[in-house]
Amino acid sequence: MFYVPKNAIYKRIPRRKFLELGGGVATALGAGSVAVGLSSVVTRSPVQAASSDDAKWKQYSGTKLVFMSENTPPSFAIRENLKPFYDLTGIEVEILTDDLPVVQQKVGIDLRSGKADFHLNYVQDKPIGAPFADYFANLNDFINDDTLPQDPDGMGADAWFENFLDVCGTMYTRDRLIAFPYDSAVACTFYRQDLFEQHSPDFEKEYGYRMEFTKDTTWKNVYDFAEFFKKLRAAGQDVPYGYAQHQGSFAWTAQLDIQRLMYAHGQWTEFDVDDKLGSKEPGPTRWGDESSIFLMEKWKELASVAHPDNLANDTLQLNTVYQAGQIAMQVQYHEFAASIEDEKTSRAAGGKTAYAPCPKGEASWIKNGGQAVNGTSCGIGGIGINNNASDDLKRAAYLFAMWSTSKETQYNVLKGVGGTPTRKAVMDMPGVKEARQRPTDMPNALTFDAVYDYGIKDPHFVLGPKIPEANEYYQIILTEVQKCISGQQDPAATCESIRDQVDDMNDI
Amino acid sequence: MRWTSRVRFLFLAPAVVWVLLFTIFPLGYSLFIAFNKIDQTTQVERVKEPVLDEAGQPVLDSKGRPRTKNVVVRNTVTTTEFVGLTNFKRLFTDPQVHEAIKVTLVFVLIAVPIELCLGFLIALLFNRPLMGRSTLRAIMILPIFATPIAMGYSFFTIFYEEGGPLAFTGIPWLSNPNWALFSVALVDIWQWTPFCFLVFLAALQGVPDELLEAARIDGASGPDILFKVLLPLLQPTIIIVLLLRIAEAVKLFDIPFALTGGGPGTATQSFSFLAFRTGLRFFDLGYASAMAYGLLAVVMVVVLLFFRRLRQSYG
Repeated sequence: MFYVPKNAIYKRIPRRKFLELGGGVATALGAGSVAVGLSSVVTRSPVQAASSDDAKWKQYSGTKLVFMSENTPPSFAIRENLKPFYDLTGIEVEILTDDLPVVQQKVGIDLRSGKADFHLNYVQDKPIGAPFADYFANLNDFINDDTLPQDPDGMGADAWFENFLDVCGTMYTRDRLIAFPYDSAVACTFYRQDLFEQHSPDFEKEYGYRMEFTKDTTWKNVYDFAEFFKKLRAAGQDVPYGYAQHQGSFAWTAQLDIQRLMYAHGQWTEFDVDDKLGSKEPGPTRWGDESSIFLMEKWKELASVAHPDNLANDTLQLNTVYQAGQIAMQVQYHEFAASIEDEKTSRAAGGKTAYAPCPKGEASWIKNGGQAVNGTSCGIGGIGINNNASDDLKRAAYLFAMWSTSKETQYNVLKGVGGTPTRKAVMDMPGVKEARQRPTDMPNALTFDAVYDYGIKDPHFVLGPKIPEANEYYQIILTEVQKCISGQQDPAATCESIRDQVDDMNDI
Repeated sequence: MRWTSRVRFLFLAPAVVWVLLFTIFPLGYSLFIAFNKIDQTTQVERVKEPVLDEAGQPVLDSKGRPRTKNVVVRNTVTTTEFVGLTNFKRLFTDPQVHEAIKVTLVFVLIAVPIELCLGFLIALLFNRPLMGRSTLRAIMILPIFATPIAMGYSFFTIFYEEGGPLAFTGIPWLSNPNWALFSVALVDIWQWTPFCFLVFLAALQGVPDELLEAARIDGASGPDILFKVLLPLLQPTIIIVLLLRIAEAVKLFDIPFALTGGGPGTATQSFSFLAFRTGLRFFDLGYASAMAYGLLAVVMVVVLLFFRRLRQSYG
């Protein structure tokens, strides 16, 4: 070690001296790194109500913000195109992205520990918004502040699609607004129109009606379609499976998956609360009632005709299965249309896929006397501000929250990587109306008829459940439903077990 | 003491700080939160305050009234309530914990003996002249260096029932509760058998040839040499490997996390996985800490038992 040739021309440094120097440098570097890492930057030029808009946008020039987001298309697109925001405000924004469970974990630790390492947070409505609602800043404070610039299209409920502001921004009280709708994932049906048309005559001979997907197609029809395809496969035909569920390991989407079936039949919901507000004390759950048990039986029947990896596929994997041509139909979130229409990666591209609303309730399956609807569930990702941050950082963060949800930004994302707008005004921007029909350069727009014009409207849209223990609730649902589908317990025992655990969780 | 002698403390300091920060503090703090319920609430209030000039006098507006500004006052209140053994008591009544303990035990009982037996058999095979032995040995130990979480994701595609490389078996690797746990064990066996093999091979190569030769001269058969010479000689090594594998296997987390997500149902939800989920998904940190300490206690009991056994055998 430390070998020095005899004829070395430089002055030899003793080992002790070398270690001393090394230790000193390492300590200094370490201390410096910690100091830099723990600091956030904020600079401020005071403005008045009467100041120009430009001055209001620039009042925090030189500030640095960190936004922790899910790895969704808008965040990728905005991260690649932050220059306009920097030019407008002089604020530097670092956008970190990760899978939703990781974001939830990191944001949760940051919020609950009283820190503000992430000034801006991706507020996925139920998984992040519901448990951490009290830790986000009240955006109403900023909307009403005349020393901040405001979006000309407004930030009120009317600026967004129906219910979107409520889904991600309103938690338990109307006094506070915790997030603006940043992106959206609304369920609709993706189906292989080419296969449906090809096999419809044979299907009709056997089942007595055409194999097609409309807004009146019911869950019973979905079962028939899936059973038909499975029979064809069993007879040796080279066809995909008919259907698959989101029953893999991602608990939230597994819950949303069964929620669509339950809500479609009499608008069944888990708790007797206002779905738009949610509740910190939701009271006894409806799981275990006649409707839930009957529909759980139907869910299990559907699983029996689904793709064999039904319990392994979560939402992303299910979409890949559809892209690979292994299933003919999936109820999926409209943000995935862009990946389905990508001819480089999808066998379902090139006009083979059509989009329709979520399946409707089957009248004979309704046990609670309610109406049959096209139960449409959603995840509206909001952007919220960490309330632990200083007041100036929060005000600076508001500028970004407003800019990132403006119609111009959403339009650019839609054109670029395939975003899912949350502002109504985007629909009137150039080319968006035309993009709803093929050929299109905005593939997600192919779903807009099914989603924005139908699925999110009352009475089809289901918003909740917004409860503080939302994530625990999802895990209970996933665990028990998986037990049911894999034959470990029957539907009645499943619903009763869910009821007992959920009521216990809510101190009933 | 010369300053150059004291400098050793400077070099020790990073290690001491590291251990204090990342070992002692988390241990102590997690024990603290296991016994306490910590709640934090933030109350935000907007108040009007007079605007003051540099001399501290109120600034007046054009109508001569004091100008005011809105100030947001944030008050974060942290409450700590001592809950005693409540979290630890829950461990005994929570069916999820019982289920997770069962899953972990079954996993350990499947995976560890197979790893030891397979590792030993392969070591025996490699402990004799074999063409390309060094190359094969290097290939054999590669799985040890793989990241378990990456292995979990890789095996997800291997076990995939529709189109995966093992699809021809028709086995529901991931969707059947029993097969799913076996699949998790299989990945662990694939990864850790090489470790057992490596240690056993080193031990076998340390057995003096004279002993084996003497046994052969005395007429011992192959099984006789295995059971009456090699296994008794390797007993300390076997116990150490068994101890290490059990201590590692009861902490099972990465593979079910990536491969099955703990499902179907709770079929592959290990105790560590449940603790992780409770703490970092549901943020019930007190209960999760109690779970972690429960696991620590179990592992320590296992370790102590083995060390006691070692001391009894080898003084």
